[in-house]
Amino acid sequence: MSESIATEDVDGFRAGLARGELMLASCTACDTVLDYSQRVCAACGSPEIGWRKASGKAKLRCVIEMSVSYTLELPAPFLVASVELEEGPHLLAPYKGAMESADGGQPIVAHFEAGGLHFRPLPSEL
Amino acid sequence: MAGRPIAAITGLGFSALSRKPGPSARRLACDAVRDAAADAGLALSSVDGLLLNRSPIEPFETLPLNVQRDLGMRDLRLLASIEGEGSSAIQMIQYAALAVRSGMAQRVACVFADAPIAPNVNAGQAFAIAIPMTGIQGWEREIGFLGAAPAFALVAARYMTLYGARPEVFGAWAIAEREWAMRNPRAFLKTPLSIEDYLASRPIARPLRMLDCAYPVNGAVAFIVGSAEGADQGPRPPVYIHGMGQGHAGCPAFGDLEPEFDNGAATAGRIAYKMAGVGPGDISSAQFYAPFTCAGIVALENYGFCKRGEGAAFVAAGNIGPGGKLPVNTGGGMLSGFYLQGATSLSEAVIQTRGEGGERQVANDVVLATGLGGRQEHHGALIFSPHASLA
Repeated sequence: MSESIATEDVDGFRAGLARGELMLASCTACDTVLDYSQRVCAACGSPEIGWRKASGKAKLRCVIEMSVSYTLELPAPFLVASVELEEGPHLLAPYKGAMESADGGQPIVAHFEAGGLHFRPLPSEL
Repeated sequence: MAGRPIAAITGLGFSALSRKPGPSARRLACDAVRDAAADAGLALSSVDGLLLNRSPIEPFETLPLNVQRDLGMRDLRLLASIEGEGSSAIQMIQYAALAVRSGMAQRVACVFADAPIAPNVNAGQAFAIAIPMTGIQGWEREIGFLGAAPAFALVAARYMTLYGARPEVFGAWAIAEREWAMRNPRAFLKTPLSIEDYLASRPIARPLRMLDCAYPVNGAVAFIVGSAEGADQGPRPPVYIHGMGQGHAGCPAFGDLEPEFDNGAATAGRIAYKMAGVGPGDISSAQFYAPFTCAGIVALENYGFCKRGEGAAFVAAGNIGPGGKLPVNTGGGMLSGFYLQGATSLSEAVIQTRGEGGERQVANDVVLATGLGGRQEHHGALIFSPHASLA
């Protein structure tokens, strides 16, 4: 169970974060949006993965709390959400909202703060 | 094929199991293989196949093919290290059964060994690795999503989100396994457990508490797989293999797919049941790979004992504990028995099928054993019986 292989494919995601943009992986040949684990397009077989900007809109799937500190940089507790991006892919990301009110399916949105990505409920949901 | 066994397990062997640092996985593996051969009444020299299963988070060298030399085994006809993450132990038995059935080998030793607990590494630290879930390299570590616990916390959280299950349900699973463990001399956690104890246990990755999590130990378990023909001539009651299946759904994380639940286990179960000519209603006891309480509840649903979302109520109604309708993880499971990955459920299934469960022995006509890998992407299932024919 080694960590994912580093490839140039993933640079688009990180480069996007640096610009304050959430990026989606997509096939440059057939335009299919891919989930973040794919390195080859399952629809057309092309390995040419490109990156496009996501809307930032998403649905909350569920929220967990990291209750134990494993690193000094990230003292527990903090929340992590499983989100379904409007374009389809699921993503795990820090969540700034209440775990108790995370009943699933509620609209959330990507935010950038100090170069970091997190999701939070839409203002109307707060 | 229903009615005629594919092969049989004729030997079961354990190394010492310990919560303290001790011998290497490689040494433990040798102890278990020797014990299994003796249990089967065989000289090690008559074993002509060896399959190895190391922990998927350990490097290959932890349990290399050279274990063959440690054991002094020569002229092997089958030797491989199986990589199916937590489903590997079940897979080993499957490949050994196929090899025996086809004539490639006659008697195959299959061994799992792991020594996660080291002088400066406790059980929690040993498994605090970053499981790659998103596919974005390094992302889990970057956002602090470390350990197997949060991966399964997502399963529990999604289950609670969709089906409204309360924490007490997961507690009911933990308590049932503890009650079984109190009847198993080999189990590690045997003090009575109340729902208050469960609810008061410290959070690890909410909604998961400490008492939702597996109890890792150092140890090895080995199995000897041989032909079904003559399996009843050995010193131990034969464990006939009647059904085998795998399922790997790929768990794509996209759209309205539910990778937490629709993970391939149902496929593994369906194929194994069909091969054995049985269904969930025929199962005497189920030995699930459940490293966290929520995984067991999902397994009950995927292996056909309840509908989706109804596993929680099934557990809460007292069905899986001692005296229940479907005895589950009768050795105490991974939470109260011991966590040795796929060897936990597999060894208990062998013990139950042989009728050697002592105080915890239940009906054993048809026993289900399952394996689960990664964050639930890989599944294997076996159907055992002490009867050569299920017709």
